[in-house]
Amino acid sequence: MSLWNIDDEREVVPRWRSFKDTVSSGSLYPLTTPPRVDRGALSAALAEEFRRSPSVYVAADYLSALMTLRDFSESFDAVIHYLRQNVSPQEPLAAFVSRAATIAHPDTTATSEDPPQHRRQSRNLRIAHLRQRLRTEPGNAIARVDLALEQLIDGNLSDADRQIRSAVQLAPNNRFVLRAATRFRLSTADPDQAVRTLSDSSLTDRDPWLLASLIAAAQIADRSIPQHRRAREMLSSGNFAPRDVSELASELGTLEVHAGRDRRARTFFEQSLTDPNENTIAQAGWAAKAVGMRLDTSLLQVDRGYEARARASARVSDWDTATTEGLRWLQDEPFAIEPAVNTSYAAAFGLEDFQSALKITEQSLRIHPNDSSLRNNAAYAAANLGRLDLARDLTRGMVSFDDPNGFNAFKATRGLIAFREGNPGQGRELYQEAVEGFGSDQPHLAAMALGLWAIEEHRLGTTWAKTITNEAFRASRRADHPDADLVIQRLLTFSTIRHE
Amino acid sequence: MTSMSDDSQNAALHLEGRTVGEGWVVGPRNKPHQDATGGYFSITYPVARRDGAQGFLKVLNLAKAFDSDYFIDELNWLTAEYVAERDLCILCGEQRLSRVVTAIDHGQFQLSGFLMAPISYIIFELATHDVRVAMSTSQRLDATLQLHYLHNLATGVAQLHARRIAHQDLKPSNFLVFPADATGKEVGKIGDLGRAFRSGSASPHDTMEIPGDHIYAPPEQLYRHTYADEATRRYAADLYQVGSIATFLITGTTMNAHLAAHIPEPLHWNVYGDTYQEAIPYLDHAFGATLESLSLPFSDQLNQRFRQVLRYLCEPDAERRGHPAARRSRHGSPYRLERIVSELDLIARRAALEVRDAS
Repeated sequence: MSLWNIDDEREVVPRWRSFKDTVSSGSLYPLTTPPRVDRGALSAALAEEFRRSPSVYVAADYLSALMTLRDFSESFDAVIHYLRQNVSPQEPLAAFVSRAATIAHPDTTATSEDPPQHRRQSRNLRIAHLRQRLRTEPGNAIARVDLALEQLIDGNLSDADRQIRSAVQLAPNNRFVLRAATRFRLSTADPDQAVRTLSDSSLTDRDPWLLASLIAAAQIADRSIPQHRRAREMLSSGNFAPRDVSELASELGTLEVHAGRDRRARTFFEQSLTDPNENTIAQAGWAAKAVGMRLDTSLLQVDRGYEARARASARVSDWDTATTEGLRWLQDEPFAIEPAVNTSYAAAFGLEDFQSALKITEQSLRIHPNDSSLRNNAAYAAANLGRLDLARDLTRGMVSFDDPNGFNAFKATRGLIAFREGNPGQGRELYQEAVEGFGSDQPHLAAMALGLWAIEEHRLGTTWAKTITNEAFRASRRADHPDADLVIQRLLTFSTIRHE
Repeated sequence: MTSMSDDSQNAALHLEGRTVGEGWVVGPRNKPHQDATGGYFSITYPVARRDGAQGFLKVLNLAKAFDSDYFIDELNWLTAEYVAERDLCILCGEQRLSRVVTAIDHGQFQLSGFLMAPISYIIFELATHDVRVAMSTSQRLDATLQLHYLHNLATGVAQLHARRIAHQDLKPSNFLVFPADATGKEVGKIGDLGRAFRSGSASPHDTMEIPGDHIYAPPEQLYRHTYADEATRRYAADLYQVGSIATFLITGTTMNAHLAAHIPEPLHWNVYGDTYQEAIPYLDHAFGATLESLSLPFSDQLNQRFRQVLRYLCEPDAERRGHPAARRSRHGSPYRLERIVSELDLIARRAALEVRDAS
């Protein structure tokens, strides 16, 4: 059986998207705003000159000035119009005129609903282009981070590691680079290095976006958090925009949840939701049940809120939405383990769409080949598709699970494979171990395992079918959980069909 | 009753038809903003002599001080600016800098009949146009001519830097084109030293974050960063502006405009108030995208060379600017332009061959 423990621990780890997508997500906004400049006054002389004696290069100079100031007023349109009339399309200036017009008047019909990985350009082309750029711009830390992201998604961890190291060396005080490096280290199970990278930067103490990442990384690394006081000062100082401290408040709230101080946690989460991003909304969704907080469902409509929506849908057993949003979440963060595990569960268990589930896991296994939960979900989907050799391969050598639930689910999956391979004795033994392993601590998981076992008994038409079915019914009633109910419903349908 | 700021009492506004200096007859006053050198303190006129020589007269406008609430400070500022520019022009003339507009006369006198009678003036050699008008009206604008202008510009800045002068306000309107010389080619010269820095000679604008025109300022100034090292602050800023005009000459657009087109809105200098150190990686990325996207008129090989020159000149981190050979050298400034000038000369010669072969 596959598994998604919706209430598993979650920290506010930074998202890692391409530079372009990170900018548009709003997480690179500056903490301080510069004094305003009087743009009209600065370009007044050029405006007057263009008005009085226009010529191509006086207009070009004026356009340059307006672009420099990003002054897209009526004058901008007038000078664009003049240059379009007077510059041949073959001249280099014509290309800039078109680009400037597009920047000033962007195509507003483009939607941001589709996750960034829906770009037409293939990954290989993007990698080739970034490599080419780095040949002439070896000091471009941003391009190195973008290349590392593509390489990681491509399963090339060692090259990605090299690029991240170089980027941090080149730009040790840049938010984009540091947050990407943090996420890379966390995704490759090296939280200690994430903590070191952030601690080494002099910017971390001044930037709440980085401090939030440091606390999350330290929490995952199970290390003490010396900047705890600094973080609280930042939140109470009033020196930062609510948007800039949302992740920090959310992470401090998470610490309070871990410490069992629900009231304090609620205060932090409320602060985090003053001007939240999709990450802090997902975190609030995760914490809501634990701290007795009600999350305004309108917040789930946040831009790129795929994870928040996937989790919220899974909580109410809306597996269609959970899978759709989960796939988007995976496209948004194709390197991350969480969307792959959770969405493969939603597809396989919720929709019985084993083909999709297997595809999701196969892609993610290129990056996380040894992740037990992922291999388990892949094996479950493969067994249901009748690809028993693949299923067995996937379960081979799997011993390491972070939690007993994963281990017990894995046993149930092996039970399924054994049944499908025509070895019901071994199958029964494994299902039995799984059910006992879940025991009374996880009644709904025990009920699900029993239900799935019963289906296998019905499939073979064994004498055990009735007994296990009855046990599954009893366990399901005790569990009172929608996932268990869904298995029982399927068991009923299956057994009815078999017996007709 | 009249006031000191009354135009009718300001002698500097009433010089038309009078003779100043060595027989220069003053023409009609230029309208504001029309002065090719873009002075901050001046009123300008065309002037001519009986022998046919023509010039450009720049007169200190003391009335600006009377308009200010801080009359003494403003007067002090205006006169100090004027004196700094005049002395620089004298120096450039004495040193015969061939690619810098030189003063051909200067002086002071009282014009009776006006409350504001003192006249302090500088007469410059008269350009045909600034480079923008020259390019707009040229019948034969091609890469050869554009590179010829660019070579003149870089030579002019190198001449200034060799005298420990940084211009600090290089922009297309301050790059002037003069009639053909003995070689038969028009000559480009740098004008308006009104914002220049001269080592060892203090000027009122030395303490300004952006000493020149905001629109053409290098990115470190746009992001309000001041490098501690004087050479980086002054000469490296000039290098950027040479690169920016180079981009303008070849593509019709300044480097600042290209950067603004490539840097995302939240990280643009109008919006981004965090430190320059934090912004540099973003600028590096935008700068690389700019160089990659520039549409250049040469062969692939020359395009690469030209891009490389722009890279040396316009690196967002001012401490990394300059030709690698100058930067490697243990002696002299890392921002020396001689190697850049040689490189531009080579590009110009090869481009001329390409143009000839193409025709």
